Amino acid sequence: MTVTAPSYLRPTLLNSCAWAATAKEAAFRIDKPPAYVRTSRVFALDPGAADVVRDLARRPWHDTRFIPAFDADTLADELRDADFAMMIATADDGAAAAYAIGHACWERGITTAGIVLDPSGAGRRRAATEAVTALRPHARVLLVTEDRQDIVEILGEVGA
Amino acid sequence: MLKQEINELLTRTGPGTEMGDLFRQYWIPALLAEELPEPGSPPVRVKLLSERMIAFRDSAGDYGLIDEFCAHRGVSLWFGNNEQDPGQAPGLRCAYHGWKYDTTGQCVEVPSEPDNSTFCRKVKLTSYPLVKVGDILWTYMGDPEKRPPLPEYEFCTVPSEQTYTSKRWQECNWLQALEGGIDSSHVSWLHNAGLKNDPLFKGSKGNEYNLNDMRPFFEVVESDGGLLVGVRRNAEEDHYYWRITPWVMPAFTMVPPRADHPVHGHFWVPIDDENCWVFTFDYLPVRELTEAEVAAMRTGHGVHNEYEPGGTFRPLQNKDNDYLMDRDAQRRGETFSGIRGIAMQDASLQESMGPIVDRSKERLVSADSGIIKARRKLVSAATELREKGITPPGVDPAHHRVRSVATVLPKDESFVEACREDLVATPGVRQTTV
Repeated sequence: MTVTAPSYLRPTLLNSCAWAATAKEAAFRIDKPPAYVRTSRVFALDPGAADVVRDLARRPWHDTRFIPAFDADTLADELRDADFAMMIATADDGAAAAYAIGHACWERGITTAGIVLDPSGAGRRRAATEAVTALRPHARVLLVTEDRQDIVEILGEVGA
Repeated sequence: MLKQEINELLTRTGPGTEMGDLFRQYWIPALLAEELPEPGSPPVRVKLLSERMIAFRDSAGDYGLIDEFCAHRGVSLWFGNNEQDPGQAPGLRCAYHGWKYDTTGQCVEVPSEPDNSTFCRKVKLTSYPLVKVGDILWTYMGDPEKRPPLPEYEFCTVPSEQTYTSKRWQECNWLQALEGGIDSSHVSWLHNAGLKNDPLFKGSKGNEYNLNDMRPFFEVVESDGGLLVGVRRNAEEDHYYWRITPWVMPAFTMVPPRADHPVHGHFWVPIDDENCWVFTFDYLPVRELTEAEVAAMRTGHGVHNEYEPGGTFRPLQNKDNDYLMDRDAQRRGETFSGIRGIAMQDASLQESMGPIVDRSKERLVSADSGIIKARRKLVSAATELREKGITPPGVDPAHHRVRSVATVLPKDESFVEACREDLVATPGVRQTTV
């Protein structure tokens, strides 16, 4: 007897040895995590952010360096081999540092992220401040948050 | 990468789980109103948050959502008779021995008992409210004492001529589906052909910005109900093109609009831990949908999809047929992944992650900050609910009155400030779109 498949059933991967997406097939995924290394730098843009950066530095990280005080003279050295740079602001007075770091990262093809930490919880109001304006052109991702744990999460997620 | 225990917390929504408790604080879509079109309609099996239920509309027109199984011998009430005799009280009668239930799950008749028996009053199935708002029947599965006001999402409060909703079964955990709604960076890749060809997308100036700048910048800001995820691309000199996606906790996302096309979005509802419903809406705040627009939605264009034959909500393209992969179309550039249609382009990839993706093995990048922040907010809300009883964001209907936005702004303007009014659903005011 010849069985004709319905017209909507048109498997195209007959050479595959596994169907996609079933729970059973998911169990056969290779268990070894993919190789992945990030070399990260975390810059404080103001004194309040420096405290945050010092706190962060006490945690265990992979290949991450924390820079509590921006220094234009050492910036090139700090960025050597880096592929990710995070800038943290808690106030509006870090525009010059943001520009310098952002520009240097752009020249070197380093991905940037900006965090505006707003412990007052007025995230939406804070989003309009000079800190955000200063960071916007230089940060591939900009997060305005009241929760400093977000910084830990993002650094952890990106493999810092 | 996410710790395995956090992944478990986020993805398990059955009774007694932390995320299950969180979902049970909200009104969630249970089924489309068209599934129970008239009084006495056949009952419908519904599974939500890993609980099996029967939805029915009795002969008086009242909606009910009750435990699927008869209290007597545990058979499914799906076989039951939704009685419509004028002389009979409304109710759903079990097909096995005739026990009968009203829309609250109260047993109103046990035929084996004497005529004047009051035994039936002592039998009651678990039930949840089922309320029609817009095209959707919503339920609230939490503590009745804490039942919040009804949802006020704009797509279900505009006149019916201005809105259209479909739903589809997605065969993976709800969270990996939701995360696709928050992550708009994939649009320029996965959906690039749709921006040019789909009748519900094409012709927007915004599409040009999308396709001309494949490396967008992201800005994530907390909102009262969840998050605003702004994505900017280069536009004309000294201007950025912004697409702003609101996420309202726990599972509502809106796609930024394109030209005068209907505005769309999704509600991602767990069926169980390995399946979810994707309720997909399209609406316009100030005009009726045209016949052509509705026809396009019904035939699976835009963010909707075609279905397997037989009145199911399973997509025609599904994992059993490799989503009708078309390598020739992929080679010709008509689709980026070889899969037809924006909805199924998303669903196919999200299902390919497996029933529940193992986030301990993923490697996110900073562009995923919206997803990272959303997970953080869900974990935080679930923990604070369990430990302190704090009502989570997104319960208050004021949080529902949001809109997505597409706009062009000078480079030095904050999207939050510039679009403050545009991000609020205001009756009679057109959406902000490019």
